[in-house]
Amino acid sequence: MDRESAKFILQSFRPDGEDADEPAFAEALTLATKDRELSEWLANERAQDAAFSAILAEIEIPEDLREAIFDVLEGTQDQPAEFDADFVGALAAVRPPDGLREQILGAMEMEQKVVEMPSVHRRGFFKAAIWTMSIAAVIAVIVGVGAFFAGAGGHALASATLGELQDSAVKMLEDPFLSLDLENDRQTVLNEWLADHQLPVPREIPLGLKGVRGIGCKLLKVGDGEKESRGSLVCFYKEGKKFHLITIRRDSVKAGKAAALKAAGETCYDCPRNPGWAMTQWSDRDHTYFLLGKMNSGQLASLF
Amino acid sequence: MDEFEELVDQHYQALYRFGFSLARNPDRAVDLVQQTFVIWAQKGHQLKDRSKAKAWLFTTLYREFLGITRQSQRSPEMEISEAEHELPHNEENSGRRMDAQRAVTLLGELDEIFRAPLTLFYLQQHSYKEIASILGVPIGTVMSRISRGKDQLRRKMNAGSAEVATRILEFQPGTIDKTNG
Repeated sequence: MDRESAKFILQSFRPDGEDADEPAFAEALTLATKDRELSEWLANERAQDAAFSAILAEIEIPEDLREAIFDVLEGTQDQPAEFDADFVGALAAVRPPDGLREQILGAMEMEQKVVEMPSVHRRGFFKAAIWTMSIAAVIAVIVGVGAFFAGAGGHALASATLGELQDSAVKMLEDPFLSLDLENDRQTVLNEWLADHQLPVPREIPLGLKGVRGIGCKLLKVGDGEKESRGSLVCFYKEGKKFHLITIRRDSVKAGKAAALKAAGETCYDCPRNPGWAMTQWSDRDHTYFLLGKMNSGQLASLF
Repeated sequence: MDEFEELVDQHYQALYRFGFSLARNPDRAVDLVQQTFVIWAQKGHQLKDRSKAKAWLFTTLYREFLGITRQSQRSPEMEISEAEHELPHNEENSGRRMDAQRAVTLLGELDEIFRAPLTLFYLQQHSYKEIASILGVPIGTVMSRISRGKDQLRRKMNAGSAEVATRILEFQPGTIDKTNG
């Protein structure tokens, strides 16, 4: 670990020292004891953090907040039978407002709202997408996907290149801020989640991916307006490598006659504009798939 | 004191500060806290591991905030920036509150993805792992957002002449040495 890596890690070290026993900080803290500059930086960092924390702690709490919390609960009611015994006493008089449950479920649903896909003609947005984080990264790849399947004006995309898809997908996947909507290591759970959200579920996947550990999945939207459709990203982990599968409804694709799965292993290639990445694609009756990994084409082909 | 009351007493203040930092509006912060406990009353029994109640509450409040924000973006009732004028005022402690107000304002000026992780970090209620759980993002992402968020926050502090910046700079060793002669 070098000084800059230690600084990066220690920036998440709480100034009150609560994380002192956290193993993730041990190496960086040890380095700080040996590196005078790092030690001074850490002292200053903690002092600044402590100062800001102290200021935030000065946010005044409304005097009646505690009472208001209980008041709002007394004005509501739920079904006591569903509660643990510990809560029955406190919640005996709780009556939820009409429609509250639906509102809560709606809010939860909104949390998983799909990122809006910018218009294809806004491809300049793609480069500018670096301004934001994971969501922007997803938008970036969506733009790339959109560009791949539909050119400016929404027509079929003769001029779009596979390189654009590579660039956008790789940029998304290499973005340190990329976050998945669901993280789970079981493919069945990921597929169920995709199905529950009316998203394309990968049905034809390489033999080498069947049953391997999942990492997570994410919603993608392709196109906009009437042309809008939903896609999915599923990430897998196998033998130290991560594989990323983008699935898009076939009827949303106006270009590309992708091979069948059985031939996709032979069409794996090293991305020329993104060294270190390999990619292939295939289609089944309903979907078109793009599989990428940070590896060489031979390693990717070994899945088939 | 029953478990629910104890839970409220343990966390409502920190939840309010988190909600206030996100919404920058005391009334909305109160709403968020109330709604969080209402949801707990309805669904908290599903949480088997009671040691995770704190993280559950912060996660719920954050999700409520996101839901409200998205709704307001569709039918905006009031720009969030307008809420800055609604910060509580108390003549006796106006100096201290100006600091807190400025801190919340600065946090509110950050890119949205930095605001929640950085606020949670500075509230010191959660480890970076818990923050990742609350926000539903990977651990590495939280560390990156804290790091980049701090950079952005300090750039904003340095760019302005706020009391907060002045106060924090006083904690820098070099400044302290000079002060001490």
